[in-house]
Amino acid sequence: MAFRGLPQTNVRAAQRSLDSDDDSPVFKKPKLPVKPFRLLDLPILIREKAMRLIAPIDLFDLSLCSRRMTKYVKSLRLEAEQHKIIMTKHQIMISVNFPGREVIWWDFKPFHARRIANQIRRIGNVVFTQSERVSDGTLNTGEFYCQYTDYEKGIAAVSEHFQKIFPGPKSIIINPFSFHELETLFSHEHMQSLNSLDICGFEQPSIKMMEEIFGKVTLKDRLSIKPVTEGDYVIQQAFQVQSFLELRSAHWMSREHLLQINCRVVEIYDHNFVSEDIEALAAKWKEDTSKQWEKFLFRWDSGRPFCFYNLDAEAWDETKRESHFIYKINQETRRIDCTDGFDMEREDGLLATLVLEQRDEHQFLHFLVFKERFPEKKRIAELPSKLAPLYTQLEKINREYHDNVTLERLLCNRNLNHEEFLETYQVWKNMFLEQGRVNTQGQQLRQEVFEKMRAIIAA
Amino acid sequence: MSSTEQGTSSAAPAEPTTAPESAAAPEVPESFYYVHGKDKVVHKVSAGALQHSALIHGMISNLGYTEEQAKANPFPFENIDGDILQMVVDWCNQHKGKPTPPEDTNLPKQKEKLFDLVLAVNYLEIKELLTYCCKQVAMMVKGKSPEEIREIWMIPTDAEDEAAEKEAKKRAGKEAAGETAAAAGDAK
Repeated sequence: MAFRGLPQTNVRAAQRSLDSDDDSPVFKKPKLPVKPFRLLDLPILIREKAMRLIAPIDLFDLSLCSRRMTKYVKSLRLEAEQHKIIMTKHQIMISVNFPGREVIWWDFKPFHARRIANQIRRIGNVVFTQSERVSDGTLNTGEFYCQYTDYEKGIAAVSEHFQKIFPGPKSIIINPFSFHELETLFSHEHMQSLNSLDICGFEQPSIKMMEEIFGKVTLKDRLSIKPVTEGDYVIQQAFQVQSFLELRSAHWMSREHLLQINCRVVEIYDHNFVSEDIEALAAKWKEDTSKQWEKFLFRWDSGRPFCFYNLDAEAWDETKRESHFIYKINQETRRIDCTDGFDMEREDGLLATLVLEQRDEHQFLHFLVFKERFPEKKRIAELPSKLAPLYTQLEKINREYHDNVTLERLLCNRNLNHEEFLETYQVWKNMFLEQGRVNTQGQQLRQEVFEKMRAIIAA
Repeated sequence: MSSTEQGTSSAAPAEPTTAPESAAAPEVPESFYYVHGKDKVVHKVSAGALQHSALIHGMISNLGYTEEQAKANPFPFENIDGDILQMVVDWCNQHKGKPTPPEDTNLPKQKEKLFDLVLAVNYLEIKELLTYCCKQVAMMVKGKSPEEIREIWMIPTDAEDEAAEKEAKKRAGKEAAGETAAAAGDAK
């Protein structure tokens, strides 16, 4: 291969490093031409192939070398699963997730004091003179820490760069009372198109604050506002989100607003709605098949009238649907008893119910759409196929360890129905709780499998 | 297996010596080909080993050379340094007829050799070895800061890129002006 010419600065740098190796004052090493590895001299396809094998966190640092490298990293089109920005009183950080790859964290406010951060990283117009990189192979994360107190500016710069090189949906969790430059933050174009926005905290944001946040932002999937908001500030983004809408207070919302929502799951706590509004909601659902509504929750404390005059509904018919509505929240399965629900059917075959639920000290009114009319029946029908690999695993354990007790042998029996399994499991569990420990390795292995089976059956 | 010997010319290479084949030698005699790099050292390589290289495999598949013809006509790779070609030949021999492992620790660690190896392997179209080399390249910057990466890969700064771009534009402008002047001269 021919020796390639180098920019003079690079030759000088290489020469300096060569010179520095020479510690002998008498014998001078011959100054050979240094043949460095010039990535940019590789054919484009090879360069791209090598760059695709670099971990995202290293690609991020590579992209900070120059604008040209930013362009090259961007051209790899490595998409992030999620960009998450957390801005609360105690936590200010950005994380970028990739499917099956290391997560990148950029932390502006590490919990623990770090050793002196002295790496320099220039990102956009911001120079982080005190930054540091730490990798945690156990957690499969790569983290950056920095000391930079202009949080809004720093967040905007780092997030913009991440977005540029690893495009993907953005979500923000923010406590507006912990920051003073919200307008600056949301004035950046890349902060105006979000997938999800969670506003947390207890204090009521002012109209100005709301305007700074919601003035330019568009949302796609999720909006959650935990604090009480100003009574007459209309949050237009509530009508944009498709998956989840949670409003601690919605006194600003009229019936027209309510019917404009086209989100699958809606939770509204404080509001001015009355039974007639809910009737209007049900009527809208019946006539408009384009609505994606699946689950509405309204806090409906006792004292608020709950009576329908024009609702075309029927009492629960067990041949038409199951008694409980099943849904998942934070990986947890929950059930709402709809035995006393008012059922209505739509011409496309969907069935919805209106039901009151007493939970803790509050009463909730649910409008629930049964996409699957017999979800529990379906789930139980699928159990044998889900449990089959675990029974096979148990057979293997039993072949290897002959230390099983009678109850364990019973739990390993494929013919046990799910109720019998749960009952037997409980007896077996109590037996071990009394003993305080699992005796042998075989029993320990079986216990792990039984736990998994129980979780599947009881889900 | 390969052997090397300093050839006097590409047309008439010296007789290469062959190292003994492994104990489990194939019953059917294997055909061999000869390659040389910039240093004219001829390497004897079995057809099986050369199958790793899509380029050479494509070249030899339709030749139907006899042993003598192959010996008399070594493939010249004048753009590949002798030591690099040796590395490639060794790798091909080591991985002849074997499934390639996910990692290869025998690749050169020195970055100057790796650069040439990448180019040679790319030219010879040895897919698996290219992937190993690219992994090695990627590993060079693992855990390094932007400043360190810039030094390792000799990445110009923005200012250097801008200066180079300006210089290139200036040069292109001069060349264009020269061409216009020449065209005007021709017209006269």
